[in-house]
Amino acid sequence: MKRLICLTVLVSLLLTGCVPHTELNERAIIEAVGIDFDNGQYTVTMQYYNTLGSESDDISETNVLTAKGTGSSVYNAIADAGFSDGKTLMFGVNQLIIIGENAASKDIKELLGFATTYYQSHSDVKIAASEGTAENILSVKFKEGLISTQKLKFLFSNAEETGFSANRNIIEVMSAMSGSTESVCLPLLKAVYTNSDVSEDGRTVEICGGVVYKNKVMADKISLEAMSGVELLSNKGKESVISLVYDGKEISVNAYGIRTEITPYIDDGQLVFSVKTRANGEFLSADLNGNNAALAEEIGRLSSERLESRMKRAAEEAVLNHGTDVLMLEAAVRNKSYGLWLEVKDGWEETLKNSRFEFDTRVEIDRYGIEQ
Amino acid sequence: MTTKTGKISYMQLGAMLILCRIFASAMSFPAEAPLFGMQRFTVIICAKILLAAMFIPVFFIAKNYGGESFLSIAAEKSKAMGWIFGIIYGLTLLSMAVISVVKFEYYTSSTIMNKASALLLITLLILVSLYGAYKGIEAMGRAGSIVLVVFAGFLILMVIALSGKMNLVYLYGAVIDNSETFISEVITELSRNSEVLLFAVLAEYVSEKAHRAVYVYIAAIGAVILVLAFLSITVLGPYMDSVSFPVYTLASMSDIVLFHRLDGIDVGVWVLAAIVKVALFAIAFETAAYHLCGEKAARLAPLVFLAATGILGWYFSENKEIIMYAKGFFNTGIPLVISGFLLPLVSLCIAKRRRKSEKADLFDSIG
Amino acid sequence: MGKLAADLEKNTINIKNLMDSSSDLTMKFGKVGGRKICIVFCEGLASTNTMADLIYRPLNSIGNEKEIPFKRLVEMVQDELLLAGEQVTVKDYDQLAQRIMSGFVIILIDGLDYGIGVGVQGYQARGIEEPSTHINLRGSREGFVEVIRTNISMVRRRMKTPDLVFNIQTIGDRSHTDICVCYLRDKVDKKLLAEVQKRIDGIELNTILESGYIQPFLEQKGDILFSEVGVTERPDTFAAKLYDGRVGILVDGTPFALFVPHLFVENFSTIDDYTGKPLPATVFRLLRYFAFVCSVLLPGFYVALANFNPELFPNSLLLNLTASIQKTPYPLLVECLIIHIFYEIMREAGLRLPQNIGHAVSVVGGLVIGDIVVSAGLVGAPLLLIVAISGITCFVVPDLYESIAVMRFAFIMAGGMWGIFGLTVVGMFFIIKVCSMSSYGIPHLAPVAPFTFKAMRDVFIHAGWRTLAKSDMEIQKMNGVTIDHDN
Repeated sequence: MKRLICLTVLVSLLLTGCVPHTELNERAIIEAVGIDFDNGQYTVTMQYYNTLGSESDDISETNVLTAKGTGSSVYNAIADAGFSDGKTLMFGVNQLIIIGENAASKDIKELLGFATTYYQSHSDVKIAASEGTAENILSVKFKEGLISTQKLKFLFSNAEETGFSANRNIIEVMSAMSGSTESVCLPLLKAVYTNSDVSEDGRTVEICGGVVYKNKVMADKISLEAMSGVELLSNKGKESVISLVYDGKEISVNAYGIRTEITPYIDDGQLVFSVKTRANGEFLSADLNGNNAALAEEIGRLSSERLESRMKRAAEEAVLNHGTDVLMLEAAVRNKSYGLWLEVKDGWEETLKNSRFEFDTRVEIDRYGIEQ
Repeated sequence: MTTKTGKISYMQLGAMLILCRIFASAMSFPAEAPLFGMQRFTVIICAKILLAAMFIPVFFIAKNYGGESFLSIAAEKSKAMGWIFGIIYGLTLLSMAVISVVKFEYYTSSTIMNKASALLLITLLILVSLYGAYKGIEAMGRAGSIVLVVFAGFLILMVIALSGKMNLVYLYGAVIDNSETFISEVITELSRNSEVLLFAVLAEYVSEKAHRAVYVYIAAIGAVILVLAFLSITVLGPYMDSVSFPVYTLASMSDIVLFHRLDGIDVGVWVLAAIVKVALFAIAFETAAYHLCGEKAARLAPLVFLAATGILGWYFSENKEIIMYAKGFFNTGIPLVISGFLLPLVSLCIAKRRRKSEKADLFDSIG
Repeated sequence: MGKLAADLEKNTINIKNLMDSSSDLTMKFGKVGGRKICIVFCEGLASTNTMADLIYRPLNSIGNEKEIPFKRLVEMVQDELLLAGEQVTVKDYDQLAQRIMSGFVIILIDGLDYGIGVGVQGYQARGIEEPSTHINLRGSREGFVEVIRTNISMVRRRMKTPDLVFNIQTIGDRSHTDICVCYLRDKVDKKLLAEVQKRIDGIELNTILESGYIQPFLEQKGDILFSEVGVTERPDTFAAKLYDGRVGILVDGTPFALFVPHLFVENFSTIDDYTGKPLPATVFRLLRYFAFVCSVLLPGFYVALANFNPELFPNSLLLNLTASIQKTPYPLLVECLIIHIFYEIMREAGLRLPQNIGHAVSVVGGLVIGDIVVSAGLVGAPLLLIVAISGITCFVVPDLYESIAVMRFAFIMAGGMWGIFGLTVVGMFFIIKVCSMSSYGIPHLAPVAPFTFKAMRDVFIHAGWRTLAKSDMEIQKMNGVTIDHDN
């Protein structure tokens, strides 16, 4: 009996065999993907890790290689890139997807479909839009770090820390696309020339604003200030650097511990969002004269105005102009008052367009730096 | 009458049942998209109340007639009745096992074992389950509790990793938006509980207070499923509707220092749970066979049961449309109500009448 | 051959025939009180000094000047003159052979149909030394030796209680090996003791040269990977196990003592846990569990991830791994198997060779070969690191070394062929295997599964003696224990 069982096990295992797999050195480890659209064709540009570049002592050896493919859909373009490159493309650790300007007019869910349906994809992959083509952004090859894409990731985290840009991952984007207005706000990247030798050709990439999506396609571009305001209104920006002119001097304040609460209510048939923002502030400039308490109050007031102005621009550019719900106001209304939601849910987009924002912002300076 | 020498504690039985249920939650066909929002909480709570009601007959059999099962009571009353009960029960068990295997194959080959052959996945699962079934309920009870601890560790890691990604704004009011969908979701949620079938016969292996396994099971499963629903809602938001396996997606988002993501561990946990579940089905079938056909036939029962499960599972995994129909039928909850509620209810009545007549006989003899 | 006869000449001829005139058989003839006597012993097993003191001198004191009546002579030799602690009566040839081979001297007197055996064992034996396995930082440096009686004395010295019982028996049709069943009368479960005795009685070996020979007979059938019998070279550990209600077995000729039942979690505790502070002991114990998991799973996990799911590696790690294995010629699974096989070979070579050459093997294996295979691009550096880590970590739990080595190969194969799925399936197979094991009715995984809360104070953590001293935790009192089962 025992022999029979052993034989059965052995035969079953032999029959079933191994699972086909790809050795690690046969894979192209994709770190960033750019999607462009031109003349009815999608172009996908992919940056992948150059193993020789990392091993070589020759600093001219680049740490990333680029694979490029075109096709009638993103999937076809990726397949085309795979054919031309020869290696098995692996999206498992992809960090970034950049959507080119022309491709932004296409359904974002379809554009990102390759990443959401693929089992290996990491849900923390960042999504951004670009001025011009995505290929142009990915052609900037940074020398610093293990791989070029790392620099772009640092760019996002720095922008997030200073409160200037949204850091959107794929789950947040797809989640926003499931809302009723299918809206989201993405950071906008631009390649610019600098004098430094940070990259191979002296260019670098910066965040120059944002784009607002509505009904899955790009509705408009917004300014960097409005982008910062979106972060504040979404209660995601916890810190923001504010530059002011006081007493003829340029001074900087770091607003931290920012918390925003939005309360919707109906006023005379109009939906009103009352935005209450509170923050603490820290002087980043020391060369100030005068009574500390009075100075703090004055600087606090000016800082509040600057924060409020960002939020106002965000409300205007990102919400009211197009009726886009990038701030998840729908959820806010449902959470605060289900009755109110029932009132406004039909024709929500129009209601949003005709809504109003009221601001109550206060920054309290409570840190003065080490030097008084 | 206890059929086997193996004895487990009610906690071990509870642990195994919890695993089986969580496994059913983690595996789903995309067609079974869960409801979005806080309504999910209401669905879960209502389903758990109904589930508790479903457990009533088997609970009282375990409590008042310790060491017996509804099958042994029926078989004792009449051989024919035992056979009818046994066949209905066996077929339900087999169907549930096949559905579990197909779901498992679909889940595994859609995730980290992308495009792996169904034959391989099912064969390995069946072989280890068979080994577990032959090692008996004691071994599976112990293994089950270890797997549950692994699951608990995984859940804690996931909660820690996702705590920064939760967005409470997604917690809409716990209101029933659409009563029709609500009812169908409650029934679907309820129909995933094949554990009542397992408890119905496996309770006889519990050394004492088998009915307490029901308390453990319902309380723990309610809590765990609510936690998973909370995580899915707050992290995935409305995107949850589009995700085939919410728990898998959550795991893939869980970035802890050591592991970039936890989806590998997630699949590992479900493979372990799948083995426990399929082995338990086989042990339950073996127990049923013992009551009806005796010890010799019972010895072969797990082999026959798992061979059938493997072959059918393989066939249906290649022809998923058929299993979707079957799943649709099982989602109505009818097979479960018949095998897990009505048949045990009949047995409970028989047992009560038997006890009454025994008492009467005792009084007569004293008189 | 039967019973001894009253005729001395016949007896001596028969003894010579019995042992085929073996060279070490020594027969010294003489005359005492007018009667012929013969002193029979095995050369090298009896102490000549003791023989002179206890046998020759008293016999000579009787003298040969006058004839002593036979009855009186026997009385004098047997009851009055000989002062040995161990004195037995030998009635047949088998018994006689066995006794002389245990270091006894047998005095045969013409006309007497039995021999008088005197224990004058004096064979050369290794002295008490520090144990070669189960090394400790603090505590006794004594290890068991090959002589069973010395071992008994070492245990007795540690437990001066009349409840400690030693029961010496002889097993093995040819080797007639002495074994000693030890237990604490007030702690041991009687059914457990009876079961152990039953299994010892069922041992059908002719020759027992080491405790490993009888170990399988004390285990259940089919336990080919994990053992339900504990092995120790330390008298202090042995005594501690007896205190938990276990049965110990000492075997003559080996310093390795056995005890049953043995639980899986016991592999992770050392004597140092009990002599040090509770917190460090807990940390090191948890480290041992971690090391076990690392040792078993790390290579398999690496192969599975690299081949099937590289996305699970953190990004930078993945890039570094890819760079380092870019030029390696073999598939990762094959590479991993080869390296492990060579590692095991080198370990075997290091173990069997004389110590000074053994060191050379480790140096050559570890440094030279390792460095060359990486720089020649035959093997990726990460894999070599993983082999080294898994190799070192398995020595943290020395009792499980063999099991770990086998499991590691199984996991490498499963991981290489079927990825994480394979690892999990094989892992579950081993979990079920260990869970199904019961040693004398005590689950092998107890007190973890089935779970016993009270016992947790000395499983994953070590609560310290103040807590442990509050109440005893006997092995038969854990959950899920059914000693009455016949395993």
